Amino acid sequence: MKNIKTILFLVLTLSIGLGSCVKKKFDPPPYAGDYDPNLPVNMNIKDLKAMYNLGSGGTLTITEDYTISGIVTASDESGNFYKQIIIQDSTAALPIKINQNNLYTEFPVGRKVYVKCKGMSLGEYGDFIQLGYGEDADKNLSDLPRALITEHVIKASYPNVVEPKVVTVGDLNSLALSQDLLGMLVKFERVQIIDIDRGKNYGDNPDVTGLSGVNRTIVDCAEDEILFRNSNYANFRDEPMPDGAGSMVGIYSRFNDDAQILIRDPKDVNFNQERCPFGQSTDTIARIADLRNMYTGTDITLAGTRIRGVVISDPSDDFGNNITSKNMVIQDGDRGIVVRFATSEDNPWAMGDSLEIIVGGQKLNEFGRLLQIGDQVKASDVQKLGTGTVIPRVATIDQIITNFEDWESTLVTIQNALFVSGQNATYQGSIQLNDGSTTTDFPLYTQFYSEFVNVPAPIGQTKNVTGFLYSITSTDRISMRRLTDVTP
Amino acid sequence: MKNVPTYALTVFFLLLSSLSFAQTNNLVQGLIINKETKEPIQEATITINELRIVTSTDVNGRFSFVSKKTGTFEAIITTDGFDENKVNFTIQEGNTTIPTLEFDVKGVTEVFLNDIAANGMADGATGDDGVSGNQNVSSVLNAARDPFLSAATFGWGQYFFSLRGLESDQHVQFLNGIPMNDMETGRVSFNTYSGLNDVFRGRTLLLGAQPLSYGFGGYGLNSYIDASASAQRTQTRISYASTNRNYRNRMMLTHSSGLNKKGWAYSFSLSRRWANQGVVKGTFYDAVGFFAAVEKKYKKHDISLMAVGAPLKRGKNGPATQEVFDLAGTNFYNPYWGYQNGEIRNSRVFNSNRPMFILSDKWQVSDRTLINAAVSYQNGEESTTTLDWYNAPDPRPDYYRYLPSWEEIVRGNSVVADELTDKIKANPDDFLQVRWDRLYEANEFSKQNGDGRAAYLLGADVRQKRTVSANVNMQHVVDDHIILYAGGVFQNQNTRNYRRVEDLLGANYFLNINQFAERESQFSSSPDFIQLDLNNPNERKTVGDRYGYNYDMHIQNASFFTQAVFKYNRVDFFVAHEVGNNQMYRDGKYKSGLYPTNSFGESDKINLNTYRTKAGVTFKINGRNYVYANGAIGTRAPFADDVFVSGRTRNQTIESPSVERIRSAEVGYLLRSPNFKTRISGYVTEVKGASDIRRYFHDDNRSFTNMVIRGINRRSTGIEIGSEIKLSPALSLNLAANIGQAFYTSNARFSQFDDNDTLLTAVDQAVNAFDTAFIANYNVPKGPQTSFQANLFYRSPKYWFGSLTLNYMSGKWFDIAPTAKSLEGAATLDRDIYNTLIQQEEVPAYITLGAFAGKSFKLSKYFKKASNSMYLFVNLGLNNILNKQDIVLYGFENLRLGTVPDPTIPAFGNRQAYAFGAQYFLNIAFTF
Repeated sequence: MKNIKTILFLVLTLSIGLGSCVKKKFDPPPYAGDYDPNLPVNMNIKDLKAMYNLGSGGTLTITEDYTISGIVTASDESGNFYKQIIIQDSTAALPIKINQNNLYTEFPVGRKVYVKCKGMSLGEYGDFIQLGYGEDADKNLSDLPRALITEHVIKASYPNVVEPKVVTVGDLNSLALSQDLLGMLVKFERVQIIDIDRGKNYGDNPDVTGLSGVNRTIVDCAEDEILFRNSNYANFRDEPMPDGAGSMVGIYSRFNDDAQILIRDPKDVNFNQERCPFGQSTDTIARIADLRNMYTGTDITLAGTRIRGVVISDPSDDFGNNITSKNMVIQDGDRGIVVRFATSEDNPWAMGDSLEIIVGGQKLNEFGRLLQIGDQVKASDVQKLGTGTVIPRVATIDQIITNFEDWESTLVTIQNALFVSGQNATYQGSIQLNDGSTTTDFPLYTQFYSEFVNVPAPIGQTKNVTGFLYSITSTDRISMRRLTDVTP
Repeated sequence: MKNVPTYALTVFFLLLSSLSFAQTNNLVQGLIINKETKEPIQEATITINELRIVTSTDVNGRFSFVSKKTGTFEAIITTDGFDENKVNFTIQEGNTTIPTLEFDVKGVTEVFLNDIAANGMADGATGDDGVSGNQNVSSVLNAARDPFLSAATFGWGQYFFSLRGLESDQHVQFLNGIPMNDMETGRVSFNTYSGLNDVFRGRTLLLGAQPLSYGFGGYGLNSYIDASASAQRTQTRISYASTNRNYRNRMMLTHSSGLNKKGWAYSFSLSRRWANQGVVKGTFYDAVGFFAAVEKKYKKHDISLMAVGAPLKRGKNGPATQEVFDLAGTNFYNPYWGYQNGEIRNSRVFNSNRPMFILSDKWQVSDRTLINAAVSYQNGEESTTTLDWYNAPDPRPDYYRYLPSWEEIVRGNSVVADELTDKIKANPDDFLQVRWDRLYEANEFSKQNGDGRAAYLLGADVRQKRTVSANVNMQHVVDDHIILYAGGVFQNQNTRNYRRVEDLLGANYFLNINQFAERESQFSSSPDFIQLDLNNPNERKTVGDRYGYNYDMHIQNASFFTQAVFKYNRVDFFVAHEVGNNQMYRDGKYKSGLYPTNSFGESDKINLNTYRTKAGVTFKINGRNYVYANGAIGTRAPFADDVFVSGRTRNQTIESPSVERIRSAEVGYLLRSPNFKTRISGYVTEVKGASDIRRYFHDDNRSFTNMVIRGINRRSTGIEIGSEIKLSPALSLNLAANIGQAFYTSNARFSQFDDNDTLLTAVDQAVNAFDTAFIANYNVPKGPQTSFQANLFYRSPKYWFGSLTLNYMSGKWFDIAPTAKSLEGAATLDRDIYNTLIQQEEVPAYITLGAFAGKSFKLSKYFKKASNSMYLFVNLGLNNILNKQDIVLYGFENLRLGTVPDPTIPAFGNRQAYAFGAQYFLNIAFTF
């Protein structure tokens, strides 16, 4: 009995020992966003950036004990920015390159930071000044190594609000004027996605395009355009861009001569308005025939005019491409004309698209003997109305030669044309056609960059040939769109 | 057990005849047996001060000595080095036979050795880390008897010595009749009873393919633990130990009733081990052990019920690259912990709580026939916490991209690399430990910016196992020469595998999606692809919820064995045979977005049959010289982990799972003379056609990948020597050596199965995509392959003992990454780079010195009030006295190869862990 009591006592003692000893519960650390170390700030971002000689291409190591402070306006949360944060103070903004993924977990938008610049370096990327650390093997600015983050980028309070600066697209297009705005958070009050980009996603699949990013274009109602740059690794890549128009907030950036805007995430895009009206309400819709008749041999600058027509040239990279990429041939009724765009990117339309084009401000002129409207037509000047069909005019070579000036830039079909001879065995260059209506042979012309240039031509055979009449030289010529324009 | 080997008598008489040359002297002989089990006690010491005689019993409990005098003398007999039993011997002219002596035998020396062995292991050795290829010899009682096993266990075991280079499942352990090797890993589940040394020390050991009485066993160390109530020494024992290892304090209380007149016995034990911080910073230890057993002898039955549990919680430490050890300035750097509010918090906490119940019956059917039957039930979980993150920087402080080597090797910026090195060395805690503050901060921001989706959380990989086992085993003594055995084992285990939210670190929820699939542009087009569970898409998980993966693994093994043992005057031999059946299937609880058709529900049942046969013979040249040879052939089923390509994601198995073939043989010579005992064995075990799956994160594929290796052939072979030389009756010199090799005998085939790759099926892989893994002749990492030990043991008649041990170990190899040995287009590589890549790193040889001493005090000698049964024991053990801190415990090559910009750049260093420096173990025990 005594033994049992002793044992019970011991069990009790041991049990007390069992409970204690090892700590298992932990309290969460205090909230870090309330803390501001209040470091003395002796430099602003604008003056710091001014130390760097833009365009010098190298890096500048900061040797003075400068401390700047700013609020994070962009981070890598959505993936549209990569290994960098952008901070902004009242004077300017500056991207900081940091070798660390998912910086937003420590430096979310709205966090105040102090940056101790001594030992860090300024450099540039596409004329955009950045802060980093040292140089990489190519003598470009490298990023701040992770282990040095705490030493140079000191966290302070959260959250803080940076109001975006309201600007117009036109303000940003003057790179010289907008230098101080570079990197800052800006806001457009009313912009929209340009017509050719409507319905697209923010980004593309990098596995398909092989590109890390993509340029979309936005335009405001004054028809000023700016590149809308999106990373193909952003998590909103596969989201469709909204239709309509409205405000957009983003970081104003540039890549060499291209001004561009980058959003932090799609919440920055707030399109709740109607799209801008196309052209001006005072514009007149002119017939192509009327424009052609206006031209008397001197250049005319058009004003307040729009034209309509169906694309009869074929820019397709798969079948056609028998026309220079800045040009498009459209036909309106039985007359046609060449539209010349500012860049080939402005001209993505396909054969058969029915378009309305603002030609106010463009010149009506001849290139060689080819009448055209241009040459600064931009994608935003074009709106697609739908698709249409143009039935080619059936005519003999004799008739064509007679009416070439009037029928220029329209579609015709020559029946039973004998392929007399060619410069080459293929379609390339001129092939002489003869349908018996006249003794004169008529050239079928194929550009060396067309998609069917290397196909053997049916020399010696008789075919029906369709094409648009198009010549910058004194020789009348017809151009096929694609191989199916030649039928037995 | 009645099977006192008849050959022992033969041996004994041979022994006598060899001694009878001692002319005029009087021969005294006797037998000492265990009072409770009636088994012979070996190594009991008989001291007769008056005659200046100290001798000890042999393996059969026999002792003999010659006396020049006759008369009655007081003999002091100790069965375990401490208990003194005074007996009067009356020695007559000529031959005297002392009547059989019966004593309790509850080793004290061995208990202490047991403590040392069990606690001398550094982290990772205890089997829960899943460190590949490392099996620690269990702490063993009787190992003290055999110089070789003693060395293997107490000297080499803590340095990951692997007996005979065998896989862990070849070291079989039974507890009260139930196999204790885990059905999924093959490792003995030490965590089931750890810390209860008092009651789990009664073990019998047999090494190699020898005949066992309780089952077929393995080809390594076979141990049987009898933890029934009546097997415990009748006493109450309370002890306290202090040490500097994984834990620092241990208390234990054990009370055993012994068998009373009505045939009842009970025993219970409680233990507690703890450390707020172990030797390695950031580790803590918190373990409880409880044990209760009751036994009733009823007619011819001996029914025993046992319950044991050992809830354990401890902070782990992990291997790291040498770069990080150097940066941290210590080889005991632990990447798992960090400060939270100034307190150390470990991110990798191991948790185990798997109570077990065994009901067994020993039924003496007749004088000749004994049936042992046991059933067991074990249910509980093992888990290890781990940090998880989503769209956030890798929280592991030793992540390779955070280290100077990344700057230097991959980014080619050695100036910055040097600068980083300086910064980190100046403030290692800031850079090389977990930054809990940042994890909480990120989650706090997530709450303020959004709905509190976790950027970080603490999860736990949980294995909730339920095991039911049954074993029936019959022995029948046919006659003096033949014993027959037959038995069957049935085991069924269901393991629930899942990850569980343990702590959201301030966030509101964790979104259960597959972030690796989300990063793959080919999948992002369909919202289904990124679902971990299509049945519950985009589920928000909070504390206690399962996430990540969730599946059950069902395994069922049944086997039947027969054995016949023959014993004759000059020769013993045996033959044993086993047939087995292994079944396994997976039952997925998640319908994976990537594998919608083969992830949810039950997989096909894998059904594999095995057989094993072993036989052996022992020639008894004379009473002192024995020669033996044993051999075995058979097959073994692969573990479920090596059958299911990626259990965490799908039901897919390797193509045509097959058994591996194992052959094993040993030959040996045994010499037993009074002052010199030695055993020399040569062994070889050959495994053919094994499969292995290694899993890791593949940087370039941005996916977890499963490297299926098939057709692995390996061999382990070597020589074992163990000798005991009695320099004087009290002082003995023990020598042990193992000179072995374990290596791959041929190349194997491997194939990668990415977790994010839905296209490849097993058939595709089998047909098209197997590459050669050039592993032939690389070493299998099985601890030190060459080991020596010299041990001096002094056992004083004045109730104390002391021992000094010197170990030398070499030939320990890093585990190779087959990827690095199988580089595509290796021929085009720079020769130096190639040579570096294909090398296998060897751990430098090392020497350790250990010592231990103990003394017992019979309290009645010092205090009049104390009863005769009161003893105090004080033991002190010292390990690695030379305080070597650069002993690599184990190491492995990183399975990842270098990544950007060049796959051959070794961005991933070998990882390794170091053994502890100098350690002590002080134990004070009081028994009454």
